[in-house]
Amino acid sequence: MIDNIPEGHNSLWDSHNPSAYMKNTRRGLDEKLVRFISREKKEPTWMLERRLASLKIYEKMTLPDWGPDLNRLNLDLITYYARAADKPAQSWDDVPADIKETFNRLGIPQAEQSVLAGVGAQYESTVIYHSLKEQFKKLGVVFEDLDVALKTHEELVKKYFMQGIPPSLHKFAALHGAVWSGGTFLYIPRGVKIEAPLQAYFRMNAKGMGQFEHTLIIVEEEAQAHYIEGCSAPRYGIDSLHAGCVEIFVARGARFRYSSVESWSKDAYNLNTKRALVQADAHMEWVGGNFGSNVTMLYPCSVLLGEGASADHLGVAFANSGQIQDTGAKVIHVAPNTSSNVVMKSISKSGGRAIYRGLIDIGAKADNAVSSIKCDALILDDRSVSDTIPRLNVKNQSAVLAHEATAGQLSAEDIFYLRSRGLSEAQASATIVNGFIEPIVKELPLEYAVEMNRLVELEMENSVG
Amino acid sequence: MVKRIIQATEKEIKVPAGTKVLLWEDIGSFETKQKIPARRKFLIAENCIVEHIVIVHGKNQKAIKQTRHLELGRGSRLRSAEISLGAAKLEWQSNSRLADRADFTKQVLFYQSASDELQVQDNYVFTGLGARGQFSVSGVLSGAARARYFSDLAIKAGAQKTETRIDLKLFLLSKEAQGSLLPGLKIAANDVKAGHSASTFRLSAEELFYLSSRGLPEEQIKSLVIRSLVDNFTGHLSAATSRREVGKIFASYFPEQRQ
Repeated sequence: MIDNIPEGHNSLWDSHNPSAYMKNTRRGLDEKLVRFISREKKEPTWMLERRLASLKIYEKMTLPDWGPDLNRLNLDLITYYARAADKPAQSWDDVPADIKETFNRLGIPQAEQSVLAGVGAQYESTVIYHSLKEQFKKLGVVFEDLDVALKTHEELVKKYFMQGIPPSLHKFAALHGAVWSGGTFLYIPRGVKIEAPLQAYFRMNAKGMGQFEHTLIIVEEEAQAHYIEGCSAPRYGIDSLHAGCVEIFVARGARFRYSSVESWSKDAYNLNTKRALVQADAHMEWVGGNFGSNVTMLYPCSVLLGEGASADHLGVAFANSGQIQDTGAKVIHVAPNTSSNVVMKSISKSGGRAIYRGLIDIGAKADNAVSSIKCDALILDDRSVSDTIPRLNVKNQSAVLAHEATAGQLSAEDIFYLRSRGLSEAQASATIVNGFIEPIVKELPLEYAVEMNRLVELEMENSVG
Repeated sequence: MVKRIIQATEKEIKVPAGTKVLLWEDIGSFETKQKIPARRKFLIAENCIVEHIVIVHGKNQKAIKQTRHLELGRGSRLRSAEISLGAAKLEWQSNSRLADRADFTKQVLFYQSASDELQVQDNYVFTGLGARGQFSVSGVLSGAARARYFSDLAIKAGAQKTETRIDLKLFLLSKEAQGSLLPGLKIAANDVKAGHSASTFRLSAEELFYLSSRGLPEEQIKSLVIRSLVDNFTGHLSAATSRREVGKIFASYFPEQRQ
């Protein structure tokens, strides 16, 4: 099926399995499908009602009138639900062989052995594997497939689900509310601190697929954890859609880091919505790497609700040929003495378009808010484009806010120096680009930092000559 | 440098190639009763040296709305100083295009008070090789004033060797004042240097305490902030006569600034 793919991007992410389970699916979305999803998952009535309410909002809303043009995305051709496995396994031995092989190639089981506290793996619309090390279970940590958590921790899910991201936020949030499936539920009890990261990996396999996993994370008071998401899909030459949601509730005094490395195929629309509600003296960190996809629209948002809350947003976006990476950060300062720090790096190459789009909103009651935003763009050739579109709203005179952005190219002197040390031009360019994104990469665990550097090297292939 | 006073009703101002001129533009002055055009065009031909001073003091004006277009020719140099001293409602859009090796420096200072509303959209488009643009905007808001300042730097494909930067600074002097800044960069050429910054400032508690302890009431401290911005602004004007005249206008607007 992988026809007409140009040479130069032969990464493992482009391989795919046969998808017999797709025989029982259909394209397009209507109330019947929404009811079918809910019935198949044996959901409580309140969840079906929320799905149907979201569907109504979705049908009324128009596509966003800002950001990249999404009119080419034919939503009628998307398959909104495909069940690849009956239930999540707790041992990799119980995962179907072809699916297991995919995750083997992505290195997930190995990472679980060596560095992770827990792992979730989703394939199409369903979670196929979930596990948490025993020591954390004993501390009361819950790390489940969200479909499972809806049964085992219904009250918690009911209390928080789509309260941070209301379906009315935009059309794709509403779509998500109607057809969400799978995802992660993570609950860190009060005072529990987990040093090792927890990871979920989301994989779209079939062509024309839509993936709508929901990540719901509740970090109780004084707790601390780090969660990583990875995403990928093979390329078919037909649009696929990823419209996941990540909701994080960070209670008083807690610290939470959410990292993601997204490497979608170059025919995927990645329209993800991520938002954290941060209470007093709590701290939220977003670390993100965006690679691949046809169009990405992703602006993780921190809402600083409690006094002394703070947020860091660190991100890298790489826009290669034919890609639009429209990424950024939003921070809404609601309470006094809140602070935020945004550092974004983008690289555009071979006609790619990298856009930083951001919002800092300092509310009337956010006395003494402090915010710093720094965006740097590298434009690697004269066919590529870089846009920086920050928006700064200040409604409080005591705010101190600083935004700084620069754009430029690779330094000829730096390349000359590295070539004089024996590197090829391509290696020199990749080395400089890796140095450019180093302030972000160093915030990732070693294994993921290596992966991000490797992704940069893959994107830099054929960059010269 | 020859001084040319732009008349209130002029719609198009042409500067012939090789000219050195000071353009003086007084919009919404207390004396001017003539209708200001909604659109005004400036065509500056090749290899000119132009200083352009724009004063908008709309104390007696309910609303001022203007769209301006500027073409800066090859190799021309333009130093522009824009001073906006309030109007109940001021909507200002300026679109500037820079040709090869054009060099444009602009300084903007605006002050809005009471319930004034300001909306500015500055668009700078670099179309030629080796152009340069340096833009600096300082704004002060007091009372319940509102300001939205949008500024786009667009470097078109082929406009290599462009060097440009814009800095937006906003001072909020009251609890009710609100401002939005949106400095955009749109770059379609790779051999360029481009940057922008946007910042808001306040008088810190320590600074206020220090100045108060020297016997200065808070209102006078705020006046000093404005004065320092004005001094900084006029200091950049090249002609001594321009500095004097702009200084007089400020003094008439802020009587407390007089020595």
